[in-house]
Amino acid sequence: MGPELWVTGPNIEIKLFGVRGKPRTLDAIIDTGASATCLDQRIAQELGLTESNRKIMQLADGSETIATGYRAIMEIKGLGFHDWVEVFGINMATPSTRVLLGRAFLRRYIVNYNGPDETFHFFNASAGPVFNYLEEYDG
Amino acid sequence: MVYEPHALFIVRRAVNQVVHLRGDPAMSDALDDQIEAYQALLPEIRRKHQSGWALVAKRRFIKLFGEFSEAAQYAQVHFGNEPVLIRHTDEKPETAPFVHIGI
Repeated sequence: MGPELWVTGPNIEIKLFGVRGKPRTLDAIIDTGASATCLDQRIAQELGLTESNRKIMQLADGSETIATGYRAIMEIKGLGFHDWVEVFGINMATPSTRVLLGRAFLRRYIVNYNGPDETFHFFNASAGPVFNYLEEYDG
Repeated sequence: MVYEPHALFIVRRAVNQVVHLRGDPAMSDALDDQIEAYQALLPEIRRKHQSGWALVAKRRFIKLFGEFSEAAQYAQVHFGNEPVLIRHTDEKPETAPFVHIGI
């Protein structure tokens, strides 16, 4: 496990944008129950994101809906993250500016949850320095 | 196999409902074309390549990428805002714990 990168609560601020629209700052929730990163379809349209997928998505109540996949650039300051990500737009009953940060995003990191503190600890998923204790012990 | 055309019809109809809700039919029709091409190309992509993010544009398989971000970057540079499909060849069912949706 690499060094600790960031400690945060479940709600974080992200910036999302496509190549056609202006960047927008949104509230995101770390959600290990979501396999993908999801948002209200209205936000995806507002940002002018480009469609690049469509698939059936299962919701918490077991029902299914067709979600549109978009390619977007996401920025998370605390993590130093700035890259293309796939986000799924879902037709929500009421407008929402919240983004669910699902496992498709989290797989880049090792994330430990501290229950009493309600904090997430992000570590780099790439291996840190490896110490060879046997060589160091050497007799 | 007998039921496949009917299943396709149901999926198409559901997709069209979403498209009407979104009000962007031209873009989505073009994406549908890429999805249709992808379904036809998938067995060959799987046979010739390892798993990864497949990029399909102009109804042709373009390239397989290790990461979504690489495919998105490539699509942006080479196809701009043209509708392309980026889909993982080992696609798994997706879950999103939203409960209140509009459909």
